[in-house]
Amino acid sequence: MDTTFTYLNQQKTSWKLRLSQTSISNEDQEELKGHLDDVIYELSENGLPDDEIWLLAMKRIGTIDTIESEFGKINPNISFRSNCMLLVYGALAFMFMQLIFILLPMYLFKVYAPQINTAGHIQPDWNILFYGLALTLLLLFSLIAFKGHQLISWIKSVLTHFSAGFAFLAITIIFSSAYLTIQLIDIHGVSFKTLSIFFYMGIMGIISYVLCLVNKIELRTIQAFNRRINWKTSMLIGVFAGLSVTLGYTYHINYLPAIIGCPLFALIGWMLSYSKNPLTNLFTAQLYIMGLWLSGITGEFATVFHIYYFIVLSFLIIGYLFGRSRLPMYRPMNS
Amino acid sequence: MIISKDLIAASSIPIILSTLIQGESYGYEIIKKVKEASNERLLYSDGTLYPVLRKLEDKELIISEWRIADNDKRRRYYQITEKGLEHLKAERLSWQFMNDLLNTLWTPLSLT
Repeated sequence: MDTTFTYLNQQKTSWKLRLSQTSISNEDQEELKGHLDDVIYELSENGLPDDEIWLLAMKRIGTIDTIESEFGKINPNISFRSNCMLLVYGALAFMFMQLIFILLPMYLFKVYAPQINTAGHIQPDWNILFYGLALTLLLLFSLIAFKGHQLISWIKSVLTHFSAGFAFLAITIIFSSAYLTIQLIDIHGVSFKTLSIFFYMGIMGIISYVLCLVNKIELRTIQAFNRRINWKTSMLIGVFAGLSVTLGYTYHINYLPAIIGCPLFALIGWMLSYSKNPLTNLFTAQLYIMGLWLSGITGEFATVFHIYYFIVLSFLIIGYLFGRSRLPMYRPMNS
Repeated sequence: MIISKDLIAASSIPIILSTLIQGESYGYEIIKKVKEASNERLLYSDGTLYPVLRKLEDKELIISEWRIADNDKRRRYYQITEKGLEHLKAERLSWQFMNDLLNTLWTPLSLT
C-alpha cells in the first residue's frame, strides 16, 4: 500500500522528520510511528480521500508539541534537579564572593598601589579598604545567620525570574575570576595562564553540563534544543563562543582566534537554522564579536579586527545556510 | 458530555491497567478498547497515551517487550505485572467508594 498513497507518504515523512527533532526517545518515536501507520491503515479502509485521512489521523494522534510536553512531564526527578541546581548556585555564590572580596581588592591593590614604603607597611588608605571589606563580610555572614531563609528564597525567586540575566552573571563571574587569577598569579615570572584557563573553563563546562542534565538536554536531542533557541539563548551562546575567541587573542599564536572562532560560529549558525526566529537569533549571536570588532576599530590593529570579524561572521552565515539547505521545504508549517 | 481534563488524568491509570487484565496489548489496541468500551465517548489524544504507559512502566505496574507482530511489523506489547494488579485492586476500591459516596449524596436530589 505504501507506494500508492504518495500524498500520505510525503506527509508521513515530514511528520516523522519533525518527530525525530524532538526530545522523545527513539523507542517512543518508533512506537508513535507504528501507531500512526495503524491509524492511517484503519482510516484508509473506509475509502476516504488522502487529505481527509491525514487530517483525521493528525486529530487523533495530537500535535507533536503536546506529545513532547507530555513526555517531558513524566518522571521529572525533582529532588535530583534541585540538588544539582543547589550545587551550581553554591559554586557560583562562592566564586562571586571570592571575586568581590578577595580577587578584586587584590587586583586593585596590585595595579594602583605599587609604592609600598621601605618598612613594608601598607599605606593607610588600603588598610581602610581591606578592613572595610572584612567588616562587610562579617555583616553579610551575620545577616545570613539570622535572615538566611528569607534571603535565600528571595534570591531564588529573583534567579528564576531572570534566568537569562543569571546566566550572563555566571559567565561574567567565571571569566572575571579567570582573568583576575591570571593577572594576579605571577610567581618567578610564570603566570599559570593555561592552567587557570583550563581550570575555569572546566568549571564552566561542568556547570553547562549539569544545567543540560537538569533541563534534559542531551546531545542526542540537540535539535530539540535548537528549535527552542530564542534571542537570549543565542546571545548567551554568542558571548560564550566570543569569549573563547577573546582568550585566543591573549596567546600570541598566529590565526588562533580564527581557528577557535570559525568552527564555533559555523556550529552556532547551524544550530540557529533550526530555531523559530533564525534571523533575530543570528543578529544577537554575533553581538559580542561585533562589540569586539567595534572596540578595536579605531586602534592600531583595526585591519586585524576587520578581517577577523568578517571571517567569523561569514562562518556563522555559512553554518546557517548549510543547516537551512538541509531542511525540507514543508518544515515551517504546523511545527 | 464533556469530561474534565482532571478527571481524565486521574482515571487514565486505572483505565489503561484495566485494558490489560485480559492479556497483553499494544498502544493502538489499548486506545481502541477504551474507545469501544465507552461507546466512542471517551476519546484520548492517541499520542498522549504513550507518556502514561512510560510512567506506568517506571512504576513497574506494567512491563513491555518489542516483538514482531502478525503483519511483520515491530510492535511493543504491554503486560500488567503483579504489582500492577495489586494497584488496580486498590484503585477499584477507591473508585467504588467514591462512586457510592456520590450516589448517596445525590439520591435525595433530582439533578437535572
